Amino acid sequence: MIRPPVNEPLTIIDHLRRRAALSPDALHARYIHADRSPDEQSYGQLERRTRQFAAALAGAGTPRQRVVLVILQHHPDMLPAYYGAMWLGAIPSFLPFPTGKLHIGKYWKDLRALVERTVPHAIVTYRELADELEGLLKDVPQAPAVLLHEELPASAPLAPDPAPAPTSDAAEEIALIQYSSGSTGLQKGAALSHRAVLAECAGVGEFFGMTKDDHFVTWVPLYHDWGLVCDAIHPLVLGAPFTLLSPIHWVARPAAVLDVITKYKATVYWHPNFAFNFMAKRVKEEELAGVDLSSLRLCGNGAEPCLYESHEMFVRRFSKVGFDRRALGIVYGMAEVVNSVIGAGGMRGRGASEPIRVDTIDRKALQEQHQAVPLPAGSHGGLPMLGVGRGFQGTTFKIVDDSRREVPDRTVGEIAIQSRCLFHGYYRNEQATAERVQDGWYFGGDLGYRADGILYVTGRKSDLIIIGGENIYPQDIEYMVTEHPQVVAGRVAAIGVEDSELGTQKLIVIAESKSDDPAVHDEIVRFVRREVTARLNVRCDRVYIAPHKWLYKTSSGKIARLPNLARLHELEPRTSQPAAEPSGPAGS
Amino acid sequence: MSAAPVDREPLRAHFTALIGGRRELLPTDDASLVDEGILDSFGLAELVTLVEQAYGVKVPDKDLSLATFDSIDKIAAYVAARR
Repeated sequence: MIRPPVNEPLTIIDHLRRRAALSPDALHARYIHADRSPDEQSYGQLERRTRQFAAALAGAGTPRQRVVLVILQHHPDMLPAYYGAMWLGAIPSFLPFPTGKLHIGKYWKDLRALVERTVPHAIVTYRELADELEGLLKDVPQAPAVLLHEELPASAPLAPDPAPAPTSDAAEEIALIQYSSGSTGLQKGAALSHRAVLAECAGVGEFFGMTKDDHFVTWVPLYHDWGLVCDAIHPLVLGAPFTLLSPIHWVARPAAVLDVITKYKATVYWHPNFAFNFMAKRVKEEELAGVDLSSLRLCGNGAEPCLYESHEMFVRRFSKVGFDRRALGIVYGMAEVVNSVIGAGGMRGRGASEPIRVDTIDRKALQEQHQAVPLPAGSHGGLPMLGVGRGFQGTTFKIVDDSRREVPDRTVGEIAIQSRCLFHGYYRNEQATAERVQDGWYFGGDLGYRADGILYVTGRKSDLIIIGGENIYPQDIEYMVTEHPQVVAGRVAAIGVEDSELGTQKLIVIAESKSDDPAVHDEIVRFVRREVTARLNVRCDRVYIAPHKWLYKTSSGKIARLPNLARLHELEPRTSQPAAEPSGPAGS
Repeated sequence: MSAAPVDREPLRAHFTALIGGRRELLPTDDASLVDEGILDSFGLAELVTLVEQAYGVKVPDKDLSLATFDSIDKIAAYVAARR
């Protein structure tokens, strides 16, 4: 194959080389730190460091199309390590790092399961994890090489230009794998081609009119497909800079991102729905001194159901510091179609032909008849739904019933997507792929309806819980709770309950106990809180203990979500606070 | 620095509310709140606000980690050292 010239990029690495060749001194990435001044990395520095990681991985013998796991903390080596694998034609995948030594036992167990299934050729990580990792891998067959980023000096040798792909089409090779969250037993790695990733960037960029003059800012971590694609790869493709805060910095001091937007005149800021609420509530009045958000032309929502009230809270709080509500935007998608393939809003810029529609519908008809019956805005019993928009170029969607037949407008059904961004499949998991992909359509299990060509998302077909943009599989929680000897096996329900105050879901767990002893019940409650947090890094809002055979199950043995929530008051301990109302758009 | 002991009651009340108001389920002051599933990163901002308002100390960004605030004892020690 004749390699195309560098000015016609077909792969992510082509883009990286092009940026480094055209504008080596332009800013690529800025890493904000809580305790020192930021690290800045130019495109030239990005390429140089990438070639160093590529050379180190080549030295370890990493071949094309083998997986390289990257487990790094907030550091300018994150992307060079990742692109270094890609440079060789290997397949990088970011994984979260352990968030404190208290969780580490669980973390290693999950990581080991992932290593055994994925069979990575190498793991790039940091010194603090080295000893544990070595112990973990010592009896793993085909154990991966471990590279510590601190041990790669600034003077390390550079890899030569990338070898051409042996296939006829380099853009179709697997570029990267994106893992969903949840325990590794249930994790599925979406394998994405260069073509799919670049098509996603093109679709988003065209829709919102993004250029190299944009400046992206986020705290969404790079191991999340949204952070990786929309805040790191997309700016690389555009030649625009991005500024990254660590999630822990933002979550503890949400005003930090406002300071960054102000200081660097950022234009694009993506964050999940709960963050609109969180910022509106948690930023203190005195922290707004000097803040100016007038540079933002897109403040985009995604990764979880987007709520009308969340946007309104944000606008009410921040319009006085220059936030323009026309900057509000929405994207919809999932790792299986790279990330974002449908969207609306961002009306303050050069692109955006589609405002965010608000469709007020009858809440009761939605829950009971699965119909989106329109009501006048502000009606009693009305639920304002935010439209997530239209498909970007190369993406269409339809709504289908359980037999995957298309349903009429305003009927709730499963959302199916056809897109040029569609993944290759789940890595080493053909069965899971076949369940989700049929005739080129991806069936992701989200529920929604269409009206006037606009997609509205109402909830999930499965009981997947989404907390702050992270997917949590209820089965994971139910399994770990059952490990308690006094919990009845198979009689546990983990349910995500919408909370409009938080703008996301809260987790509640109901467990049937073998014992009537209140001391045992208290012990189970503490056990559930400990295990769920340790394993999934998410907090249980409420834990309820039920007598045996209390939980309703459907005839197929599934936990019936709404009926159980509706009678939850039977279980409430006298001193407990009530849980959130089981209402809201996902109440299906 | 004040020699007066740090009143832990606002902290206990805060964490009790987070576990459904059941004081008897609140672990001892030396227990890890992260380990017990009571404090997670989303709870940090609220806790920092409480610490700043209830005790009048300023928490700089470099101290913003779960490790700093992982037990009622640790929070009290932090407050004592900062004021």
